[in-house]
Amino acid sequence: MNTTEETQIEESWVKQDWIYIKTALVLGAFTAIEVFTYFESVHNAPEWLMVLTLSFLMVIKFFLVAAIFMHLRDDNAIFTRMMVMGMCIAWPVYFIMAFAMGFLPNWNVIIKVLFLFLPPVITGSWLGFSFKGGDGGHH
Amino acid sequence: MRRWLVSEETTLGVSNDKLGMWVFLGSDCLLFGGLISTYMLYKDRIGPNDLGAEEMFDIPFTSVSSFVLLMSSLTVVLAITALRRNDIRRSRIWLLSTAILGAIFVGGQVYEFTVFYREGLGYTTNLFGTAFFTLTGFHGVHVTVGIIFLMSMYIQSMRGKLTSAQEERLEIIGLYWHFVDVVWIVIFTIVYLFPQ
Amino acid sequence: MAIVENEETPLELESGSEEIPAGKPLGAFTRPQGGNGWKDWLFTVDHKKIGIMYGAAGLLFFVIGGIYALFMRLQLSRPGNSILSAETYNQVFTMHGVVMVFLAAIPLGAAFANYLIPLQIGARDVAFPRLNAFSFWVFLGGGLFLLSSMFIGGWWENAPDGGWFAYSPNTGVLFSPSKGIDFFAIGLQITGIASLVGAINLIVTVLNMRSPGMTLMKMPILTWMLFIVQLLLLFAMPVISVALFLLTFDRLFDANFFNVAEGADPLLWQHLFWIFGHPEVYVLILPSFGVISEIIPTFSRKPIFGYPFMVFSGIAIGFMGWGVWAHHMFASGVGPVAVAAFSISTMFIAVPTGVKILNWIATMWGGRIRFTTPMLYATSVVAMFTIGGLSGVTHSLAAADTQQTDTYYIVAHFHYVIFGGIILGFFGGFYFWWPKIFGYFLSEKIGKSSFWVMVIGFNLTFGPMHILGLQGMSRRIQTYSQGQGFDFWNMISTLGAFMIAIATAMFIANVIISRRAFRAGKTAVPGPDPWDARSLEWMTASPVPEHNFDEVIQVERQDEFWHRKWGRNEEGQVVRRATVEEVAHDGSNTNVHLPAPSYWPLVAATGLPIVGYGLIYNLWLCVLGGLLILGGLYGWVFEPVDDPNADGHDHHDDHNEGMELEEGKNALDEEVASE
Repeated sequence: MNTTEETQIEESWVKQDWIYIKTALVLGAFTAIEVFTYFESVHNAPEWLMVLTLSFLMVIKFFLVAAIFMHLRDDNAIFTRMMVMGMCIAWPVYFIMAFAMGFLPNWNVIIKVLFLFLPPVITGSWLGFSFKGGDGGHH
Repeated sequence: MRRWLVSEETTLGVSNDKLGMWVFLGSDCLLFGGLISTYMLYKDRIGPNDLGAEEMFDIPFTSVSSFVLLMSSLTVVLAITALRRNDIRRSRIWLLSTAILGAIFVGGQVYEFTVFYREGLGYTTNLFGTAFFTLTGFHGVHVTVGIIFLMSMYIQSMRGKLTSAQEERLEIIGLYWHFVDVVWIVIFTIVYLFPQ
Repeated sequence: MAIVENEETPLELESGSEEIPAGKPLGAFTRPQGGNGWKDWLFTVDHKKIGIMYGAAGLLFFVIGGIYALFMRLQLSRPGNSILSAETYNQVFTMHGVVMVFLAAIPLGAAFANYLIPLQIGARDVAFPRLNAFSFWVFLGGGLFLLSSMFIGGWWENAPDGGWFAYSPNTGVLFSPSKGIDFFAIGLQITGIASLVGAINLIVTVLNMRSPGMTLMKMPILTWMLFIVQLLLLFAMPVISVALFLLTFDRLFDANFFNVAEGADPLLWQHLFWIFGHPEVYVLILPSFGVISEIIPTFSRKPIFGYPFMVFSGIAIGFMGWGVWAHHMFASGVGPVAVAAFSISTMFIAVPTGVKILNWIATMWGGRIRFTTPMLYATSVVAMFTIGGLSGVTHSLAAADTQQTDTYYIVAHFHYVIFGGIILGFFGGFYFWWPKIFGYFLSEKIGKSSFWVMVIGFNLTFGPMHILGLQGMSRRIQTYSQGQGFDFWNMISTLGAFMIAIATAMFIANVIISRRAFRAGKTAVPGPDPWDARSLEWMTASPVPEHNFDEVIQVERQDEFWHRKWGRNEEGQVVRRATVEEVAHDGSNTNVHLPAPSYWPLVAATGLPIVGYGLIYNLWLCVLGGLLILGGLYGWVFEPVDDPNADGHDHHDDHNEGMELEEGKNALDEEVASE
């Protein structure tokens, strides 16, 4: 019958697409946490902790959208590598520019250098080499 | 004898169009990186009595529109998976929802900008305003272009031209849309949520 | 309305078909076969025609930029000269820089990339042929837009005058009230779009359309260098885009991004510009490095020495190029930490280039060298670039650079690397690939004499500038006083500049004379492989047929074409395996489905300069331009698919129907007789 077929399709799409719905719920939850920290900041939390937590949440959200919604996890590695190349150039270059222009003057030089190179090197190598995905490889 | 380069028989086994979109998105990172850096450098270069980030931002309002954009990423994925299953009707619904959610986001931005303007922060009032409006303006234009893509696909679907053969095209539009969402994730955190 | 197919004007160009009229030759860039009417050129999506158009435009702009230089040199030939006023001089040297870098060097690189990349990887065209056409027309529109600043609003009243680097706050409305900087900013945004879109196209082409068996490490060095160039363009163009947007918003909308009174930092412009600018100079030089890496092995009859080193040093140059930009800012007050860091990184970047120089020399060492015109140019690049590179290394020492900066010593450096590295290399490339592209040889006699005139003229022009700079002559000034001791070398420099002009004229004359001689039957037919070369583009007829190759080529190793012609016998001697006729394709396959021509890219591209004029003069023009762009894009996307196998996309480009994989043409299987 029509309705039974429709119900069957309906059940199965929610099941099949559950991964995306789940990811969206997680993203929503993280956003709620982030917004909550904003209000928390009114209550005297130390600044470095705020920035660290927010950055951490931001990176996770970024990663979830990229890996799951954009299928980077399942697709050919070349896609990940193009995105990673863009990020790994943008991050150090723009931060070097910012530091040279007097951004965050209170940071120790060593911390600045580590901050410039560790995140792109770590995330770049991990993402660039771990996501092999389907349809992969050369002929 | 073998036929070669028909449809998906490309060297890396991926479609040219999809690879082209990813390559473009890689370059767009540099664009937004530049605008975000400019904002970070200029946002505090204002006088002591000038309107700055602390005074202007309405975090609850912006969180709602951020959430809306995030959900639109979900709806576009659902549109693609529905299309893959040849469920054209559902795909159209998700497609339209994505465009509507995107439009709500842009509407929210426009509302936010008009509020700022009425409270005295125009484009040229001070450097914070200039940098802020430029950054969010560029993002808003990217979202609007995405809405145009989505609506074009929707109109095609209304003329009965949306088939599962168009799945890759929709996926590519989806990639663009997710990228725009990801950029907003970064902007929302760095611009709005970081302690001023 | 899209192009509609009917019996009289088929959309697909069947190669070798007699229905296509031979058309009127278009001056210097005629090809003896295929459609040649003006419509074929205007609506083409064929990478070869587009490459030729880039080359022609690049050469034209090179001549224009050179005329600017001649005027500058005339003005500077004697102290206290008044040929150009200070205001005009500022515009002339700005236009010289902008035209030479953005409208001559980059398009000439694009010419080689567009023509040769698909051929060298054995493909039938690029990944997105219509996008390729769009790139060219956008570039041309942007270039003409920039040049129009010379005439609009008066002769030399509104040309940009802030230098090609356009430092702020000098380029704000306060200090540059004419419309020149607006033309500069908007014009470069437009050409930037062309470069970015072209980069996307070529990256996808190289990654995704290689012949079966051609791994990345089997590609010719030229393709590798051009691939790296596209990646550099991809990531660098958005940065200058941001800078130009900020400048444009400052000038048009009072944005204050570079207004110090409002708290802005003018160094922001410099950082953004040079973050783009330094990778940009590697974009300029790497194509030339690729060109000579093809010429030198061919005329030394040896493979390139250290292929992996050549590839990895190119990658290293591309990668490290992102970390040296502030060496253009040593005297800007960035502070000692930045100066020291960038000084060190700049010293390091000399290393991969040094690797290349050594590899080219090692390639020639022990080879059987033929000094044809292209080989003369290629070897001169090795020598001239070394000189330019050495002066560059002296700049990397920030303490020394503080004295050298803003003097003619810097001008000497970059002209040695730009002219000596890029232009000499490209001329070598012209002589090398001319028989392949146009089907006739350029005269060796004229070529060799023009080479010597050019190289001697070049050294006379820019050699003395080292001395002038170290003696303290400032750059970007329109004159100097009598007693400063600059007179003699300035005069020599001007004479050298005119020699360069003569050499360029000799090249153009060579083209005309050689073509006439060939048509009169007086010179030899080059055939597919006139130089006994190594890579795949020589494995098909000359001029290259519309469909490139008759069959899909199975690639087994680097220099695949060479190894099909030559092998080693049991004693290890190099012996001929097969003649060129046996190996090369003759263009006779008439069944290859080609991407159909289209006028939408042209329509969309026309909208951009109109938007530009609108931003400067009248916002209604922006609406008109915007409609053209939007309409053009929609027409493009919905152009009817003419391919019955298509799955609903406009995938003209992805299909290689009619081209079968060659069977058994692998010469490795054959026995080789020893002799």
